[in-house]
Amino acid sequence: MKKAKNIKLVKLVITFGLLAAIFIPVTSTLAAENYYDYAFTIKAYQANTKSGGLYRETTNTSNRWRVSMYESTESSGKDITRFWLSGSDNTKLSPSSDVLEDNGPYYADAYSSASQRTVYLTAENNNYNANSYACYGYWDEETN
Amino acid sequence: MKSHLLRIYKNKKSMLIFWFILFLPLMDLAQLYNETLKLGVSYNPLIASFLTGSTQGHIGQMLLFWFLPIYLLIMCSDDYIQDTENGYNSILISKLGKKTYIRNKLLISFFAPGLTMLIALTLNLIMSVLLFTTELEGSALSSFFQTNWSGNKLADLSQSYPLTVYIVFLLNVSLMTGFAGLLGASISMIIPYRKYTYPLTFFVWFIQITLNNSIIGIFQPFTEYGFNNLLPILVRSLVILLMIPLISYIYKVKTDEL
Repeated sequence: MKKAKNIKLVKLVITFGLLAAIFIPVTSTLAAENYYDYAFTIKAYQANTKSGGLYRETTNTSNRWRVSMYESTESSGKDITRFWLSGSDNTKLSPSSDVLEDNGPYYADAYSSASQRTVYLTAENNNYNANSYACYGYWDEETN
Repeated sequence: MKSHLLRIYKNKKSMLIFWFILFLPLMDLAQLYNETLKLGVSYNPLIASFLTGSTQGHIGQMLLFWFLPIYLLIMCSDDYIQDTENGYNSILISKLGKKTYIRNKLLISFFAPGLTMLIALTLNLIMSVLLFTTELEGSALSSFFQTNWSGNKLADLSQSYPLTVYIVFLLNVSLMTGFAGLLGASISMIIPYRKYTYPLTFFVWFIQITLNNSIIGIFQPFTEYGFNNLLPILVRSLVILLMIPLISYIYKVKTDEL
């Protein structure tokens, strides 16, 4: 009787172990390098633009986020737009990153306040003029 | 001319604007330094300086540059209106002669703002060099200096001689501030009524800011714009900002007001 109970326990442990073995790798791949598209209209008079939120799972501030800009309509040449991560309350959660058009992804650290919370990609014009323009590209809230 | 400088110095409103222009770039610096202390973001002195515009939101730059002629009008450019209100201009014109009087007015409203801006920005640069010590490579927002700018001569020059380029922009901004003061003085001479002078001056200035090739381009160093973008802006601004004072001077000398 006692033995049978033990076998039941072992069976249970094995089942959960298998389940964990299947699901843990799946959940950890969520933090791999992703390409989330964004399309922004950089507003006139230096107003900020925000993307949809992504959950930043890590507590490691040097797990870098990244952003890349395929194209921007600011001027005929290559343009720069400034990006950073912010919270839903518009607090700044990372240092800013000046991103050049069509020049690959730019990586940057985050502040510890960005750990385990939803972060939003936020952008403004790096020039302090009154221009408005469109830009699009991809971003990722954590890359490791 | 000396008495006019003394008049600016003794006027509380003028000095208030002087201190405002002096403190705004330092406040901008304090904001970045606060970020360094709290969150450990390291800045290069040139990137942290006022004209580069590294603070989020650019509030200091917008407050100072977008409304520049208004401050300068309050500071010294609208002195002509003050003179006509209390009849002081007739005394000065009969004492100095009309040409000298008008020339002095225009010169003062060029040099007083220009020098104020030069002092403010130089102080900001010196404080920035004292507070921030990071090399360009390790600094936040330094991607401009690590990018390969093929075909953009200004960006290449900025990468090789960042301090020189910054100082050239600093002198240029001081010059433009002088012209902004001159703009206010000229318009107040053509239309000596405050309720018309202020909006008109602001309009002439602000339209240059909101244009697609904004005058801000020649204010801000280390941007994506090259000589092919900036030279037309410089020429256009100089033409506008020289024509109006010239017209005002000729009009004022030719017409009789006594």
